[in-house]
Amino acid sequence: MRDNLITTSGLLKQKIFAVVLYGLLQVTTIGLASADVIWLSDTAPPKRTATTVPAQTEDAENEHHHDMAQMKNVPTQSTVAPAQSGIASAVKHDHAGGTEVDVNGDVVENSYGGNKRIWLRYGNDPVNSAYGGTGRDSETLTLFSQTGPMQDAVMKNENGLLSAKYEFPEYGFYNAYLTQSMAHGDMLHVQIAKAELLHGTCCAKGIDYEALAKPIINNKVPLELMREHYPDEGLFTRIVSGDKLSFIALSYGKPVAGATVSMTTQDGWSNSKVSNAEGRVSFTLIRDYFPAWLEFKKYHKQNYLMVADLDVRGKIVSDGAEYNSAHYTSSLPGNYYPSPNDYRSWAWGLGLSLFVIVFGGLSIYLYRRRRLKPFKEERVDDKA
Amino acid sequence: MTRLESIRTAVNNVQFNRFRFWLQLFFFLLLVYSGYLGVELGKELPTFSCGYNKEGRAGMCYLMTFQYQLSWPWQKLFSAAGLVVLSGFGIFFLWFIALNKGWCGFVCPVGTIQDWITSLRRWTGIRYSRYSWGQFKWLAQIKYVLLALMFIIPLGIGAGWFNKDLKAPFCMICPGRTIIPLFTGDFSQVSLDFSTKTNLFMTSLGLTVMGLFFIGAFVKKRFFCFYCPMGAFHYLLSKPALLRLRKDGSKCTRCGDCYRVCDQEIKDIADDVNKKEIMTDDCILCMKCVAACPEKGALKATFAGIPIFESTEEGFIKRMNKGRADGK
Repeated sequence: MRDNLITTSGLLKQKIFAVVLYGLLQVTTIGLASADVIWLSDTAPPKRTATTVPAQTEDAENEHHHDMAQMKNVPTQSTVAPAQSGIASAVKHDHAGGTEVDVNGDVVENSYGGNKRIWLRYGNDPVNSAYGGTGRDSETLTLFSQTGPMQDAVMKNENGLLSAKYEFPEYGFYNAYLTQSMAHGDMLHVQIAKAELLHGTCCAKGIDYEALAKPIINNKVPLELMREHYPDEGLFTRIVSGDKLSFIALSYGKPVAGATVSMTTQDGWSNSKVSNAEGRVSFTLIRDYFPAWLEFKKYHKQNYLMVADLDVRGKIVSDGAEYNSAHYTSSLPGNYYPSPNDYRSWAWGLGLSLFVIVFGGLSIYLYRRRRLKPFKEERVDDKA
Repeated sequence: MTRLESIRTAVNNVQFNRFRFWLQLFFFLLLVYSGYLGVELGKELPTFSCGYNKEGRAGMCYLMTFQYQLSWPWQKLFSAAGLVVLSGFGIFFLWFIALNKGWCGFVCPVGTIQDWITSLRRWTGIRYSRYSWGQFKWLAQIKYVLLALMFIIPLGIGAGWFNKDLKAPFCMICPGRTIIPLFTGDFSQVSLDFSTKTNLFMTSLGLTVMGLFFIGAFVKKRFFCFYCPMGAFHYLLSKPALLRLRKDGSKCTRCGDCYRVCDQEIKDIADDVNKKEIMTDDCILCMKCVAACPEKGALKATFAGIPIFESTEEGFIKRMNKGRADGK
């Protein structure tokens, strides 16, 4: 009896231990998954705050991102992931996404130019994510064009912000990737920040738009989101609210099922879905721009951020080290504009045209009828 | 008769309206659809190859390019970048110099559409309208007002005086913007833009002009050409042009045939027997006056001084007898 009690007590302890251990594992995993997502933004940080962040703020902020300190090849004396609170709070009020605005209040449209500059940001909010660096002076940005890998670009650290400039002389889409890995015990956490860049044109002739407007796939990244381009997508196509966007989660170039993909839009609307057997997830971009009529800007550029998460169990070898599992996070930002349906009316247009045609036609008819002289016969008597 | 003389006789006797119809159709197809075949003639064409016809156009109307360039900030416009504007203008001028206002009479798609609408009216048997001399004189000034605004407004945008929504103001009221894209299935321009007060005003004005265009072109031949700032722009640059319309007043009997066939109702073509260069600012160089003149050599079209089409009695009679059962 006593032996049985001891056995039962032992089993209970084992169960409690197992539950606690499982809980700890879950907390660790959730903690990893909820680490700030890194992504590449084409929106410039506000200049005044970007250059005046004191070093102490950076250091203090780094304490909140200690989980990123184990990134490989990161010097230990420099703590990493400096999500700068000063910048984050400044951006918070920038509902135009930090895009430059000219004297007339119009957004300066630079989405289609060949000169690109992208910044590293932390967080899954397209507006409020903080700008920052990795604690290193530079990072390598892998670039792909339609024809394959290009020469890498360098992301340089300026005032604690990591950014890269690159000129794409040829028209077409380009992909940029920044990959960061960190070990967490026997789990590998890899973050892939991807940006799809476009050197677009509305008007250039002699270009194979069909070939250049195809999405690019990188076979060497463990997880990426590829936006499926529209069948008629060219090099000047605008994504607008109301559009249905489809993405394919790819692992080493092949569709992967079960990846959790979330979309967050400019004003914080968020939705999450799991990729199907073809790796596909679809989201409809909701309209979330409701200014007063006089403040409406039809070229108001809004951002969205896609984040995909994928857990892989089993033996994984990376850079010579073995892991029992891996967690991959891949980000892909994009931008969209108000739908023409929000500000254009074909019914009013046709109505006005028809009114002018009918009213004008009737006026001419009545004018002509008024000028008609009734038939009046005049007889002249030659003999008179 | 030498070979050259026989060619000249054949040209002078040509069934001019038929020839012009096919030439206009060719240019219409070229400018509205051949973009699908990759044809690109540049952004400096002196005719309404509308840039809003994104896919099908074979080139772009220079007025659109010009207005956008004029609306550059003055710092840019009056810097080295201004050379781009000058080089664009140079290409436009070279294009223009070849055909003079023949661009209006033979190439312009908006002009061609008006001629088709005129054909429709003729088919219905409805009579056409003409302006009185008084109306003609003051309405003829409108195109210069539009041309001046076409310069002033974009320059004012560059200086920061006007809202950017006014960019390319003439395009916003040009019937080419709303009508030509319809031929490639693009109805996007037949809409009102409520995004700002300026856009709402300009798109309303544009669609009002479109409505007036259909009505006007139906009852009045080449209705819009009378107000077209491109025509005014052409005339200001027409001095060195190669294609010209000449008149020999000593051979003119002032029968008035040329005036009666003139779509633009230009009286000088019949009344003025002193001027040798008879092309006026309203002329579209359609050459219908030459085809309708019965006096040999009274009216002629020349290219670089060489007569290419002139009035002859024989040609006049052939054209007048067209369609007669006996063919005489």
